[in-house]
Amino acid sequence: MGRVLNTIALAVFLSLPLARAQGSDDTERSLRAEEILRLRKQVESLKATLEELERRLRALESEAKTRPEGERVEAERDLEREIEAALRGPEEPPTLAPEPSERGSGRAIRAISRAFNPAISVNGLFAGGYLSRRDAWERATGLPLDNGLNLQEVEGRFTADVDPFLRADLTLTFDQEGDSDVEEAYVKLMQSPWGRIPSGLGLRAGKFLVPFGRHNLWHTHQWPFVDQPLANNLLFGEEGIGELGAEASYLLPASWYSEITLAALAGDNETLFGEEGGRESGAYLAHLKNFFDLGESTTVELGQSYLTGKSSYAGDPWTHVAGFDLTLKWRPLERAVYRSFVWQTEGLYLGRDREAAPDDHLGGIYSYIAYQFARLWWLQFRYDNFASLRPAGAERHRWTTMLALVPSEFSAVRLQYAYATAEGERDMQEILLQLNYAIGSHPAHNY
Amino acid sequence: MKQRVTEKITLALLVAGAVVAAAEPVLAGGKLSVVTTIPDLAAIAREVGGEAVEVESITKGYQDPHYVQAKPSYMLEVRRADLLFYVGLDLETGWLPLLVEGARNSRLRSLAVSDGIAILEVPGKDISRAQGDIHPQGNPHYWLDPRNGIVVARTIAHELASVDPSRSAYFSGRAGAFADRLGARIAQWEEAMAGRRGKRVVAYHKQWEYLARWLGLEIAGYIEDKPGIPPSPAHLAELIREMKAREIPCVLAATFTDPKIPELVAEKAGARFVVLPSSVGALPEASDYISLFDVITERLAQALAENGGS
Repeated sequence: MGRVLNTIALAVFLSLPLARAQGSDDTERSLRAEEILRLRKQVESLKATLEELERRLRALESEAKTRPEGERVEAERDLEREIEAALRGPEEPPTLAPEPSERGSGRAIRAISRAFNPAISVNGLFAGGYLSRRDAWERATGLPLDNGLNLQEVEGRFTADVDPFLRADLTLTFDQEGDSDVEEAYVKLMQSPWGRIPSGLGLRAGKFLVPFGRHNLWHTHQWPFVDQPLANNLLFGEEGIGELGAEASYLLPASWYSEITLAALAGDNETLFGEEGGRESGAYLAHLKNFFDLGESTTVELGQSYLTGKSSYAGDPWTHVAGFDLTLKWRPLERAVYRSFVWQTEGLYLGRDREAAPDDHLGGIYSYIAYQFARLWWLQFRYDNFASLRPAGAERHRWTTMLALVPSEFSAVRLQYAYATAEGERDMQEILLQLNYAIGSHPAHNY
Repeated sequence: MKQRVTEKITLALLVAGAVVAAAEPVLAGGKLSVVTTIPDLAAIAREVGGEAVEVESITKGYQDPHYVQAKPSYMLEVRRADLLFYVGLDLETGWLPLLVEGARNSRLRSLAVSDGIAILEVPGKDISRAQGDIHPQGNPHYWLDPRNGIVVARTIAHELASVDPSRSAYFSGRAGAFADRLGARIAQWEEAMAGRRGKRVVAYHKQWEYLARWLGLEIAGYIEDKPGIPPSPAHLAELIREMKAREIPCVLAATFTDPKIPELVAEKAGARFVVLPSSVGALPEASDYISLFDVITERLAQALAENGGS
């Protein structure tokens, strides 16, 4: 320590003549000598202060070391109690005097800080389409793309910490018709004002895409194909299940990843709960997610989901939706940028508690594989279906293939061809070309 | 009936309580549980922490740390940890935030160990993704200069001591011993590489700047035109022409880079293609922080000596 101080002092001395080397006349020289003396005194006094501080620090350290462990813990507890009591105590009356910075000068603080702006990212999604039988396609699938060019969606995402306790996420979407929507607006609890949140517990509230299966959690630009699976689209609607509510998730203390999520929701989804919705009863969701590593390159995820709420359909029946999902992913660690493979399957079932009415027992499944065969290229296949299960009928089947060019994490061009059949309709085909890009803050990618 | 319901509820609460209690990890025999994003930091944390810590790295040395998947199983590792050391400078930005959030570990302390390191290539204000995957806070591959390893060891010792002050002297002692050992080896490596100072190399990705600066090598060009973006044929042709003209003897790439392109460039330009481990564990013989530089300097000395070039 002493050596460091001496070095600093020396450096200060040496740098002084250099800094003012141009000065040549005598007055300047004497001034310089004076200045050097003054600086020397300053350095000396700083050195003394530092040494004093160092000595005190050492004393404190040795005191802390010599005190027995139990005593220290007891002392900490005492301190904690003291702090608690102080916090509980009568509050100080608020002072009415203005802050010193605002007083006196009369200047208002004008500068607007940008340091706390949220992280912003924006996605643009454009799709050009040719549909052999557009109206029939819409009747069968409920999917809204038109022949010709479509602005599928523009999505803006904002993320920031609200305060030490909350983090907020906001996703706004804009579509071709100029309609805007708050797709998600939620806060997550990061820290509680009363101490630590129990380990493994996650809480959020607001409006969010609910964790029902896997597809429902994705924003439009994350969909593995240009459009949604039939069952998701026809059961949950175009926007999926995005609900107001509160959610608690808990990471179970198992040796593998096992997470249970429970949510209480407003029950606003029209396709599930009817126009009046499940507002009266609310809606309730449970989701179980299990995730396993099969070696270092392969993973399996298995999920079960259940959602229920009272609907406003005739007879006010309760709607029950159950789902399962299974995802297998392979990505060799050493060549992670170049090759990967995904196989994902998800099945959905909806039932309503009332005497046989049509469309009360519906279900569908999708299964897709995606293979990254070169650094920038993906080849994908999907089969999906949807049908009324009781009484059986109104079956729809679709086969989709896609070739995607992904030049970077931030852009993709994807070409999709689909062939579909539906009861009572002639067979249909569609070709879609989609441009997908993202700007702004670097998004973290969910697995 | 009512009583039975109450009993059941009580039982359920007890079970839930037990589950929560079991979930609160207990320090394994008083050891601190440390998780790091890359194995180099784990290797240094092991040197510093000795018997007092249990260290795990999320990624393997043969992985590209830019492109890591935020696997839920990694969240479990973060959940069990008391301390997380990461590189920072946005290296892990695509995946680490999700791991930390998903781990829901309110006890976790995390620290970027870049403190006190002279960061290279900090871009100016006008940056854009048109320049590729650039890091707005500068080049994050600083662990590839072993002198920075000493700084990191001190940072880690300091942080470990602040979590476990009773072992403060132990940690700083171990960090000092490690610094001495590493310092002695640095002198040896520098001596072995002294004859290669000023030599030019071409690299695949912008990740060897710290290494090159330490050894006095000049990186004369990159195969990746822009960081993280695959190169275009036009750029490669230009690079090969330039390599020939300037007689650049060597093309460097990491173990996780597909060798096809760099190998082709080296062949066409009449240079040697050298695969270097960019992290501990990238190759079996680079098993700790010191042996990592043994392998790197050995391979470089070989490639640059035999060619003799500029």
